[in-house]
Amino acid sequence: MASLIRCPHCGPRPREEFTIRGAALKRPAPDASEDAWFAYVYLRDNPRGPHEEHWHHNGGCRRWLTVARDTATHAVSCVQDAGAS
Amino acid sequence: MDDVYEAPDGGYRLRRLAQGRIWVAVSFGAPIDDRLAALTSGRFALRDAGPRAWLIVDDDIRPFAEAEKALAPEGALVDISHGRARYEISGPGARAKLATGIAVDMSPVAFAEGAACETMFNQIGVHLTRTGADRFEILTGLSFAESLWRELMS
Amino acid sequence: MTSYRLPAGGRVARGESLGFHFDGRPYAGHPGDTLASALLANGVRLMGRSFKYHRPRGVLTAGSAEPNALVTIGEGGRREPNARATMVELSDGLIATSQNRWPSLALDLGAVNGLLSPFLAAGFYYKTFMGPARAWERLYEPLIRRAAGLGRAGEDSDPDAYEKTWAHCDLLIVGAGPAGLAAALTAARAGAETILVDEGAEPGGALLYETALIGGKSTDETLADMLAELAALPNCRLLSRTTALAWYDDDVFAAVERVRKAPGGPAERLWRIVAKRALLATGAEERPLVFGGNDRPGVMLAEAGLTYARRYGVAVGRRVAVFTAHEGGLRTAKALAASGVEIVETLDARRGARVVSASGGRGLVDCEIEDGGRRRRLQVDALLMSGGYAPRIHLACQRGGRPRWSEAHSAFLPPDDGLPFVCATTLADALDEGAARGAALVGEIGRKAAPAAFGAIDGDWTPSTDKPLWRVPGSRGKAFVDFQNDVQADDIALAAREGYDHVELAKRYTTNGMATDQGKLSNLNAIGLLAEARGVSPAEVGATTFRPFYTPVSFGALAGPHRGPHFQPVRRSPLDGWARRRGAVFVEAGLWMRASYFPRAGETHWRETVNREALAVRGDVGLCDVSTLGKIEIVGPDAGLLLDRVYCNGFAKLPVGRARYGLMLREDGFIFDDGTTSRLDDQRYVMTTTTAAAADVLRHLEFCTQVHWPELKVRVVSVTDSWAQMALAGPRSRALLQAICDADLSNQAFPHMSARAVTLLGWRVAARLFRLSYSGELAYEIATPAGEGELVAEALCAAGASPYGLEAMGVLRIEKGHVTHNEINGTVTPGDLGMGRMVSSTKADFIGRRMLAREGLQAPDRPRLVGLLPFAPQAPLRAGAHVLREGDEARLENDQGHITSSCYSPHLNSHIALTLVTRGEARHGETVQVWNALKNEYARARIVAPVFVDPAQERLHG
Repeated sequence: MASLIRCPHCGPRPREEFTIRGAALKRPAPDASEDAWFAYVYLRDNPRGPHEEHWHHNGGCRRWLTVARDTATHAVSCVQDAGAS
Repeated sequence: MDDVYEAPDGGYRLRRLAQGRIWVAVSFGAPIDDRLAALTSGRFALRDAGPRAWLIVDDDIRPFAEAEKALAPEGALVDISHGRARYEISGPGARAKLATGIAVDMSPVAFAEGAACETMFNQIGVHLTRTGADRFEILTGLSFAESLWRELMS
Repeated sequence: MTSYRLPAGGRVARGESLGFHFDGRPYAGHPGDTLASALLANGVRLMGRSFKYHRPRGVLTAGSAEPNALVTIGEGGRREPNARATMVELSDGLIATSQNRWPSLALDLGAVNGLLSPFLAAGFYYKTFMGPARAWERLYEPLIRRAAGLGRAGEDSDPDAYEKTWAHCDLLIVGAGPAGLAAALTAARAGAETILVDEGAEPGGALLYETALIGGKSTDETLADMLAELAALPNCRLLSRTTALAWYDDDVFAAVERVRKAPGGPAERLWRIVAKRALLATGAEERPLVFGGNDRPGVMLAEAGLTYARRYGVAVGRRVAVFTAHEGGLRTAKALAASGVEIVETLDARRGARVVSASGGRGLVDCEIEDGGRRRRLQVDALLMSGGYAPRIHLACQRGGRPRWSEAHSAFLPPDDGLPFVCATTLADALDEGAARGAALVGEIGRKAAPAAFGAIDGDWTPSTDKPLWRVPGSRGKAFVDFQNDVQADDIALAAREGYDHVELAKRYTTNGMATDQGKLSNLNAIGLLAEARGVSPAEVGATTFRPFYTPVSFGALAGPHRGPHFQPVRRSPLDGWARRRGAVFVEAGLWMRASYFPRAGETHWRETVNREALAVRGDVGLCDVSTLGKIEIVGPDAGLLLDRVYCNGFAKLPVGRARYGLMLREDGFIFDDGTTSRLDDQRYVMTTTTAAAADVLRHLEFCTQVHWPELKVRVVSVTDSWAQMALAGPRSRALLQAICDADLSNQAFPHMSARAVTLLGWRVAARLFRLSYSGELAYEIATPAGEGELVAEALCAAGASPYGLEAMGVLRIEKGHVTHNEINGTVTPGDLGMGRMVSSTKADFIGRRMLAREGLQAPDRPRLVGLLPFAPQAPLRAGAHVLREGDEARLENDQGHITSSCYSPHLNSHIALTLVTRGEARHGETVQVWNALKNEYARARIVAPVFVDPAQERLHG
């Protein structure tokens, strides 16, 4: 029902304007090893604590964002445009 | 669907506007703000639609091909004129009515005249612009036109 | 009927009378009364029956924490069970009924449970009703279920409207008592946007019944002045009748307002408030004392007695005693006496005077007192008890912070990382701290504010530091801790003895604090009793977790306007009017309404219509609305590069004016979506997607352009709503189209898979024309600006095109083996669908390339797309049915695949199906069994190539 995400372009917006894709991982190079590709597609850490995710602000600017969130407390420490790093 | 709706308690009025010309302008990285400003003239003709994206809402603008050439190669245009329903909501109760579906702070301080944003009215995507002290313009996808009109009625 | 209304006093409008009914009997009250105060005024003390033991119960409080006087309000669609009589504002014609009793409140057969109480102690259902095992489901559970519960939910549709809204403010203040009002005045005077919410029908909190003087003025006068000032400040919004329910992340608060003002207006309004700062000025809850019979009708909290007298002008009894364990109770007794209520005795537990039991069947008659070692009986009809006060910390703890035990207050205080909270033990403190907090909080966001000042208080509360009395020693009979769930002090002791002495375990074992009042009056006493049983401090016991909501919320408020047909938005195609005028039957496809088929007069069954439509397409010409398909414009110098990387086949070299079918994979190598992309210009492509995947594909493209490859100069823009798109298909399609289009549409000039901008109807319509075919016939897709679609559709129909809908479109595409998301189900690769050769072997990179190369996705024994023809042509083949070899038993190990799409083909006069079968491409001609597991039916069929009509594709290229 609540909780706001501070989109760097749009300001604070309700959670319903966003969809969450998952962990913010870098796509391997096309010729990277099989293991690297397998890990990228299937393997995920499950940390208790800070975690970076890709969120899509589909109800607003439609930019992809990197959200640093604490999985235990839900506190969001940083929201950046995903292309910015 | 009527063209005008007056809320029974007189708080606001809903009006369907002609679609007019609505283009999406995008930049591929380099700034094109000056060229966009040169293209458009109306008061609320150039509306913010996200990073490096704008909505041009201007009936009095040169033809599409010409405008596109002016922006190329750093920018491009997509014509969405026919794909939007365009409503005006005005009156002292307009902001409160919008607040029933929009979570953005629309106070005159936070959302001054000329301010615009892409957001949601409940589950319907809208582009919102403040065009006066008690006046807003809303654009939404044409397929949502009827649903949004119904939601905006009392 | 004798009246308990005091001769004068109270804030009710004595000049006006309101009529209401309780359990069928008529009564009268005044505007400003609650149902509880009006019933008390009429001498009605018995208002309900308790949950488990069906004990007679009366009202215990004058406010939101009421656990006993739960009634059903209204009838039919407006029926509301479990309403607290203390919160129901009296209105003319109100209908209220008591709950949980049969046949009547006065004579309730459920009271027999009281006799069975030794067998119904806490946790009884863990130890009894065990055997025989079958009896649980057939006998015990239905019986217990029928006996459980209080009110009954209504079953009629609710005719009222409900609203939801957002609001923003600089400072949100919860509670419009003295502290909250002081904070609001401070903040609002400084120009801050302030919202003040209060649960009561009238704002004021304790000021509504307080006897102290503030700066020489009565609280009534002070309150009126404060409210007048706030009402005049445009930046202050006061919401009465509004309960703050929840404190969520990011200082978003939920509150529900009980509106019910104008007829036709909303009954309730759900507020979602985004506050830069917030202050809880929620005051304190009085604590009941635990002694035998403390639940008799007539036993109440002391402050409730004062509230009924001062705010409603009602005496709670004619012979009232006050029993207190702290200083504050004495003050309440004095104030009550000054209001004209007959106080026969005040008993101070600190001096050894104790009530050890209260008796009376359906109402308090007398109580037994132990005083300095002697026992005596005192005749009373009301007993007001007070164990002390505890701050209402609920909201402050909702985000998981643990409250702190304060020895000084004998109560839990909010956690340090909770919300700013006013904890005041005198009226002067409440006003001062409220003002100071208000100033500090708006100061934090950049506004300078001077704390509001009030005159000296005359007759203020005296804070007490008395030790808490958790259980009255020597108490006899059932001593209640949780009134609503019938939990007694003995139950808490039992839980501790049985090892459930952790506060969360004790709660669940005894159900203390689990009723709709969520332990507002019972949690602290239970913690105190548990602490005593364990011999530790309440600090060590701790409190149970607090969660939203503070009080129960109706589903109506949560749904707001989104119910019934308005549950979600409806999307309509630009050709919707055209379809409706032609009598289309519509079907929901996600948010869209799509035309399914167009029945004509005389057609009695949908299949008849669909057969006709499909035959008309292949035999003549048909027109179908495909506007709902996703359309995405891809612009920029690197547009072709992007397409190369998202499709598994090549697109960068697609010539201008050409369209190409593409398969988009997921990164794991399985097909994500299919569609056609056309190149309209050097740097402009338009992609179509399936209706269902349109949003996902757009999101995927945005991810690719923003995250994977932000260096590419390309942008994607959805244009789905900008274009009406229709498929014109059949042997006569070219002729019809040529008649309205100036461009040369001959096979040489406009071959299959051409894409071009054209004008239609002279210069009137600037359209995009694509020669694509989903039906397998000579066909075109015409995209017109959305507003002009109907014009073109009508022109084509006037020239003889037959409208056809989704169903016929499905028949046509299954006949040709064209796939949809029935086949693209997330587990198939291009090779599985016979399109392995589409996958580029030269592109250095595309989404899914590496994982598609995995052994398992290239294995020869994967399921492959085939067709099925049943031996009995009129026997339906159901999608989902499994394929088995002849003679094989229907077991998982024997599974050969399943049917993905099926239909009746009027061209073959047979049911047909598309199917995924293990090694299917090598098994054409084989006879198999088709097993419908849902009906356990078998059919025999032959595996064939997945194309049933025109396999050589001659019609397409004509």
